[in-house]
Amino acid sequence: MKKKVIAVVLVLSLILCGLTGCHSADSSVPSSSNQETSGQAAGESFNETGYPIVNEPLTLKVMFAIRDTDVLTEPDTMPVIRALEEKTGIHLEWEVVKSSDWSTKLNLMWASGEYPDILLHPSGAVEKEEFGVEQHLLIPLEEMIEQYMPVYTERIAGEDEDPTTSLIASDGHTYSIGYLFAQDISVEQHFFINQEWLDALNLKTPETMDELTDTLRAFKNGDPNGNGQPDEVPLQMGLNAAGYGIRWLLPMFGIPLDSGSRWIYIDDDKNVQLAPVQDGFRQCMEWLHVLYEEGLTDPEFISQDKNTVDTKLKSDNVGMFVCWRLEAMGYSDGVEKNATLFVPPSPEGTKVSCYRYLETASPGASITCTNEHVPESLRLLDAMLETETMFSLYFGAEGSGAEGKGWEYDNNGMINVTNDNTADVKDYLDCNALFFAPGNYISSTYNLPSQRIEKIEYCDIYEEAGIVQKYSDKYLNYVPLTAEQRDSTQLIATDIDNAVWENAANFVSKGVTDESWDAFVKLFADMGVEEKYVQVYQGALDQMKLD
Amino acid sequence: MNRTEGKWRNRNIFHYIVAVSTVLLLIFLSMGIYIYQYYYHTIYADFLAANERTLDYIMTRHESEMKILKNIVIQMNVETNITRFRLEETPEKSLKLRDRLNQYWIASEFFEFIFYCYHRDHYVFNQNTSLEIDSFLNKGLVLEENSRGMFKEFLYDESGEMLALPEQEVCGYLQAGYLVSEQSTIYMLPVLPDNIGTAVFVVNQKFYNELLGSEAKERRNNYILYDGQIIVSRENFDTEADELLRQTAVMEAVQQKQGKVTIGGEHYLLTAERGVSGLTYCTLQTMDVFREKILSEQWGILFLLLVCSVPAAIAVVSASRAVSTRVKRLNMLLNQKEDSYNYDSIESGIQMLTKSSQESTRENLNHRKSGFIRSFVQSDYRKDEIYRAARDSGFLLENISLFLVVLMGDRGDGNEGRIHTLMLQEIEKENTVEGWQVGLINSGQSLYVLFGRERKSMEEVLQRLFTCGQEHCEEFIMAVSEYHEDFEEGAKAYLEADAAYDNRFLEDNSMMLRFSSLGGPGTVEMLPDVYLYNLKKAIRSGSMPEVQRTVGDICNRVKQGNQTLLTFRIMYNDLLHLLLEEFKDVGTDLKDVYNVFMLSQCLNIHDFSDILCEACRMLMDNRRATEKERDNMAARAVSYMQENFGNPELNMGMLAEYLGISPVTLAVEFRNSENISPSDYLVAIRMEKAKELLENTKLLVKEVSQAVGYEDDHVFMRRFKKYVGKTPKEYRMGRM
Repeated sequence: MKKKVIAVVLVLSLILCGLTGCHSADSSVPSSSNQETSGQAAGESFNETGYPIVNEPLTLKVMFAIRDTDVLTEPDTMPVIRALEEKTGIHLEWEVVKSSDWSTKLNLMWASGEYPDILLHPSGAVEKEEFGVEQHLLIPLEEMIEQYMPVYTERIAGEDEDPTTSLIASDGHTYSIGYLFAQDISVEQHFFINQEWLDALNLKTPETMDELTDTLRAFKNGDPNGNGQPDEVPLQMGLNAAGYGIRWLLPMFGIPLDSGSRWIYIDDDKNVQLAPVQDGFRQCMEWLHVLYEEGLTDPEFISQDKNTVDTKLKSDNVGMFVCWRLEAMGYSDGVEKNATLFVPPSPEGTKVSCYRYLETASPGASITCTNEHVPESLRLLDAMLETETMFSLYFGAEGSGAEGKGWEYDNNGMINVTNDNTADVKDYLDCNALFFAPGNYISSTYNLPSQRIEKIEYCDIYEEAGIVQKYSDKYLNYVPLTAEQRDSTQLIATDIDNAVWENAANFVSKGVTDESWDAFVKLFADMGVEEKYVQVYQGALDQMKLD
Repeated sequence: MNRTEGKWRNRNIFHYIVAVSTVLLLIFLSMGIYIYQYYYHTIYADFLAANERTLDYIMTRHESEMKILKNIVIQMNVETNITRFRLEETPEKSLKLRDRLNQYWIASEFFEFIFYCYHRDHYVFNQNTSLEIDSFLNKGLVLEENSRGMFKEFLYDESGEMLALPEQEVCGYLQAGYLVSEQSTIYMLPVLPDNIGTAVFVVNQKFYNELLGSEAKERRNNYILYDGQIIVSRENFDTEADELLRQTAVMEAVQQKQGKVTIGGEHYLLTAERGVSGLTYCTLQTMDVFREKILSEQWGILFLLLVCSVPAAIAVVSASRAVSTRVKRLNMLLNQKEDSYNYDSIESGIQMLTKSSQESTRENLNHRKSGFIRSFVQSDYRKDEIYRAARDSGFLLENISLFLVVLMGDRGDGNEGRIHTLMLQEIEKENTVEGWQVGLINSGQSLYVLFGRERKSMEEVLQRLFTCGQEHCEEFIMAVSEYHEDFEEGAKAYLEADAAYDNRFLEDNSMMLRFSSLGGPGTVEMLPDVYLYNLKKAIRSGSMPEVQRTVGDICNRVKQGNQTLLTFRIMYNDLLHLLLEEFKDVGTDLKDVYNVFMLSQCLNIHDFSDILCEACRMLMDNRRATEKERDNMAARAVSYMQENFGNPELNMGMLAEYLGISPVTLAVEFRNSENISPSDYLVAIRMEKAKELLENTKLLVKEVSQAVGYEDDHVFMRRFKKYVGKTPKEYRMGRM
């Protein structure tokens, strides 16, 4: 009898749990319109301007992503956080999650039905399409930003181009506050040549392809490093070596590509083009074959990866190469000693077209649908973005330079970062903090370190030389694709990538014939790349109405 | 020698107890030893098995990983197009090679990194890139304990043997870029069978932490050995590596999987096995773990034994105590005060008791037999009593139909006991005849009564008795009565025999004297009833003269008749029996006055009449006395008190009960009769007696008090003083 009763009770409780689970799952998906109204109905203790933000104590829950390698103290013990809490009157409860656990924890959190108020995620991805557009777990913010985030708004306005357009989802809403540590740059890859060797061989900087090829030959045969050994590597690059690979060489042939794996680009006419079928691609392959045959490339050109190339750049037998910059790259024993920037030549009839680097914000902070204090939360985030607070959260407290942390004002009112990354345990949020510093802002606020300046100068030179593409390929990241389109284009992109590398190796080692080239091009036609891939992007791009 | 033997033989009960206890103890001990041994072996077997299991687990897992490595190199050997090419000749193959390496790398959770080196080229490949050999050795993967030269040698080694580099720190940009940990173990497998390249697998410490690691409390070290080196180990305690390697080699040589070894003075259990891959796996655990386990759990066993043995011991002790007490008591009862714990003496004592009891029973029986014969011969028994009385005395008269009386006389030397025994033996020989004897002291005769079924056998017995008597006696006379069937005629038969005996002067003694040969009329003439009637009347009247006169009449009558002595005697006997029958309620014991044997002693007729008169007088007196007693309760009370004053329990209640009246009646009647209350009279009796004792004896006052029926001497002294006027002591002193 007893057993029966227990069994019945257990079954009932199981059913009840199931029902509550379902119910809570359902109730966690309210419509965005409801949330907007509830959000706007802020508490009576809320102050729309000024500090504190609230008159009565308020506690908000924050889920905060950090990198795996970070060693931080408890956020609510950090002096910078304490100062923030005192100023705003809002107390924060932190849940700190390592980035490798972030996506698991995030999904678990959504499933549990108990959401924090704010997600702080420069170090962890929060898919706006999935969680914002589709599941409405995040609330749209664009209508409230101007009202409650004056600092943020002002900073955006101070830029030539709105860096937060990247945050707009396919449904037109903005689901997060932006994270951007701008460098004020517009070009990723820069071309360098060994000035020492040029001088040693009494050569000038090559200005045509032929000159370049001859220069490389001279490097090879002329023993410019003077050690009697033919150990010079005229062109130090890899085939599929990310930034040290042909993707960053193709701009010489008018094909602007980043170091990723997508083989389409936007030409100056706002057309989406497939890179591997372009003439420029063929020319690149042919040129590389010549170099390879003559031994003007590293013997491991086809096989070496980014790291291997990187190691080689750290020693100094390199003639020509492509990289991000020279300083602060570990090249001090290598190419930094003797390389200089140069504007690369291009074949007749082709213009060099480097990938335009867009400095756009990535998602930094989001607000969940169960947040009952949205205005307060937004004002809090805005408070985090105020310059001094922002720098303190990122680098450490002002004036803590003796401990290897923090920042200080110089005589010109510009900020010098005194953080040299030597602190073992950090009592600031580090680069996990919400940091919104677009280009103009940063250059007027912050004394950039020399390597940043170096890069900015390079970009200016290339811009002046007019060798940067007009419309950044990055827009292709922001084109409004439907979920279906996204999935299908993903598959084709992988196929394209595989096909390119397979054939590129052959082209470089064996050369290009008409037959082999036609066959190569036909590959893509057979895959239906034009309709399924290029046109899809084109259509989406057209919708974006780039100016 | 004898004494000690005697002592040893003298089996004291304690010896026995000690023996039993010793046996029990031995049983317990052997049980305990057996359990302990079993326990020890079980724990040891478990210990060995646990180590084996650990080793098997390690070996199975690691061997399966090594097998995978083997399969990889086999596959690589087959795929010649991607494993045998020169990078500068066919660089595109490197992409395929990298893809393949990537596949292996992704699938494995064993090795962190995989490299391939084609012996005919100077490049090493991993799943991402090619590496020029020198760059690889100098910058890519720098080993702490193996020099670059050695590593290069290993990479190009063509001996076809697997190489294992012991776990060591690995640096280099490859480590920084890809490997998570710093300590790694490196396996280099030749691509067999063609051996054109070497595959290098780098295993990080995390894998071995998990596989070989063990908790500190286990005190276990796990090792993987290869080619006389420790490749990787996880140790919880320090040990000498060389010694371990040597011991392992020794064990392997004799194909022993497990054994106890001593390394650095400490004892360990070494379990080792070589795997197919050529690696030897071994696990070393300190024997202390086993010892501690034994120690810790043996207390449980000891406790168990103790728990079992304590009640057993208590039982033994209490049993032995009970037994010894009993034995002692038994010995005390048997009066064996010295050897009071000797249980042998109990047995002998009981034997003695049994024998003596048997003897006394026999004596008792003989005594009863004699009593029966005597009573039988006096015709004391009535018909219905006789069978029971016979049975009580050991005679079975149910089967008997005849009897006769034998009188024997002997002028012999007084050795009557022996003769009797012989006679009885002769009687016993004939199993249809029973008999017993009584001795007639007055006449110096022995009287035998023989019971039997048939004359023939009885005659035989008679003959034998006669022969026996003649043989053993000087002058032997045997007189035999007639055969009788009626058991009430015992006296008659005696008188017959007596008559025959008296005839000895006239007959030939060399033969049995038979009554039947006496001849003469055997009829008894009974006295006319009127004589008996008169005699009874005379007795009732209580007048002695009348009795005498009547007796004289009877004698005259008898004289006139033609009576033989025998018939006269018989008649006389009958007469007396009849009288007693009549007056039997008087309670007279006839035996005091008359028995049949007296008849033979009468010399003349006067003797007979005297006896008769005496008997009558006794009867008359007893009648008077009884009546007198019946009428005089007081006299009876007095007499009772006079007889029983010494009994402290005597009180009025008891007296009244004895008299058969109530205490009230007693008090009233006594006072009426004697003018004193019965209790005062009793006190007087007692005090008078006390005075007498105090005067005439040296008894203590307390003893006097007891003697006169006072248990409490204080009460006695008070009474005495009240009665006499002095204390007993004073009285005594006054009388001296």
